[in-house]
Amino acid sequence: MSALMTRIRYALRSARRQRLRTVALVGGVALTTALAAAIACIDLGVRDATTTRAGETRLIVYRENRFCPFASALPQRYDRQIAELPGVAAVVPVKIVVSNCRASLDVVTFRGVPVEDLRAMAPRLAAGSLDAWAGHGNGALVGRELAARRGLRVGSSLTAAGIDVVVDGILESDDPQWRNSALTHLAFLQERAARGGTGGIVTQFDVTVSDPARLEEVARAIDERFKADEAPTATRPQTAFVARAARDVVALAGFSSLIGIGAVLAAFGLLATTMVNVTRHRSREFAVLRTLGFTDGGISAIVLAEGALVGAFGGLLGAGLAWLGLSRAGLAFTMEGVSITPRLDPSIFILASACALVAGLLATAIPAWTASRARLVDLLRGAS
Amino acid sequence: MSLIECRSLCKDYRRGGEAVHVLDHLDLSIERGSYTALMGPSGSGKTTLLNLLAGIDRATSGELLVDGTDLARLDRNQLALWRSRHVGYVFQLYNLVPVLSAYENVELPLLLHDLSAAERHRRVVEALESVDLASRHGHLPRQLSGGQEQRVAIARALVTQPTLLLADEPTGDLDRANADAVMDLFGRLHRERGQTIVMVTHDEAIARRAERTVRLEKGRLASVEAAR
Ligand SMILES: Nc1ncnc2c1ncn2[C@@H]1O[C@H](COP(=O)(O)OP(=O)(O)OP(=O)(O)O)[C@@H](O)[C@H]1O
Ligand SMILES: [Mg+2]
Repeated sequence: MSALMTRIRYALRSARRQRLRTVALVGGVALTTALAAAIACIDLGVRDATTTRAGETRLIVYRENRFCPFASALPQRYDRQIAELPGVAAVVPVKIVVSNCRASLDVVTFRGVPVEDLRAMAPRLAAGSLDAWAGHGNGALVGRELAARRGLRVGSSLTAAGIDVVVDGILESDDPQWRNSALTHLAFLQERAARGGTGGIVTQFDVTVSDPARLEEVARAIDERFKADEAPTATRPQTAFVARAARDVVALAGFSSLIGIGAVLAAFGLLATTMVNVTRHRSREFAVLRTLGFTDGGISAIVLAEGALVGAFGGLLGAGLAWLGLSRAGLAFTMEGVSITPRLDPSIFILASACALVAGLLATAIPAWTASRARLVDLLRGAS
Repeated sequence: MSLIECRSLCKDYRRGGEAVHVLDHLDLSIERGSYTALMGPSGSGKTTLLNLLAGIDRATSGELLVDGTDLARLDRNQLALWRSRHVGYVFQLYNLVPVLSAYENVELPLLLHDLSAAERHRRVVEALESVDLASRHGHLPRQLSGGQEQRVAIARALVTQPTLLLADEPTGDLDRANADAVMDLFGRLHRERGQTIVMVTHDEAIARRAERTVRLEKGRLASVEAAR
């Protein structure tokens, strides 16, 4: 058995016998790691949804100076006029009805889309069928995350915002907006949402441009086209649109990142202080080990190994908890009809575990150094 | 040559800018296989001398050869390695590692030796048997009596078959019966294995168990008497 293995085995033994201390330390590291990983996933989700990327081709056409789906009303006939503009590849009129316009974790967003437009988009379904939905006036294709949150399957019924639908399929998509919506026939939603006969009214148009380089140019052309019309528009790239609508959530996410960093630093401080105290408490034990012939390096290795074990176990446990929690909860922050969901990037969990391991080592670096430097005679005199 | 040679050995401590001569030009030889009791008033430098012999502390000046090795020439890590090969140390207050069982405490010094797991196990069992505690191998120190703890500590000091067994008031904290048991053990080790032992004690009756008694006074050799 190699010398290092011996030290690690010693650290393991001593950690096992000090069960309460070990459980408390590992638990603390796990919770901190879980918190940090969750915040990082949310932050990544916010960036995904709100940062304009090269290659973006999606524009959202909204009613000018309106920010809530209840208030944005555009004539459906605009779709043909938009489609005629140069650079436009596709236009889908969308009617949005939400159960709650304010920031909330459990909003049901209905998106009414023309049947033939949805067919043309060839959506991915995790369950159910597009044909069943097409032939079903009050059918809905429910986004995967919304389905998980509400426990919906094919055949379930869903009621929200005074609208009843039957689930015909579960929708899989790269777009968090779609993963968190229930897609219905446009006509159905227009009829249900009609107040005083406003059929033919939609909330927004989802426009796809043919060339990402022309995104801004097409947006300007659309707004120019309807400037003098009864319903002027404001057109933005989808990410900018989400960033605008979800600005409170974005600010909140930034704030929670700060709190998260603070919590991680505080937890590290506690861990380091605890390790210093634990090691000081064990100075007699280390003096005995040194008398038996353990070297300075050997003592340091024992102290560091305990920190590393606490960090590694706590980190893996915390990353696992965060992964389980986030993937089970189907968390989505929705406001003004747009959703932001955390991105569970494996690299975040690997990084979080690695950081916990490094934190464990760092927290024990100073005690490991002092434990190995102390004069043996003084320790023994102090001991007896 | 003797196993231990102290020549003009000095150990000073600074106390408020003033040097205190704890060991003052001490000359002493200890033969291989001998059994020595070290006596003297409190503060006369007994523990200090034992610590020098064990390579736990360093002399201020003078020469200290143990089994031909000049301890002053070894650095910290070499000294640690040397201790693991040559020294078994028994403390007055046992100093077992509280979170380790009796077996694990005895195994501890062997972890520094290149032994197979089977050989290590054999030696630990043998050491525990020699102190009559084989049945207590799984007990933690707090589950043992003081006398039993001290016997585990002795097993831990012996398990590496050290050149030198050093004990600082090993019976100082034990009642008569337990002290006698420990002394019987030392006597047997000395007779049967030829173990070299240097033991500090304040107790004349305990000292009589040894072959000779070395007395210190104010860091100097006061007398050397052979036991009758
Ligand atoms: N680190 C130190 N700094 C200063 N003085 C010290 C130090 N260690 C020991 N001394 C002094 O050295 C002297 C000898 O101490 P030592 O422990 O060797 O005595 P001892 O003979 O073992 O006494 P006792 O019988 O009480 O155990 C004492 O006066 C003690 O105060
Ligand atoms: Mg003493």
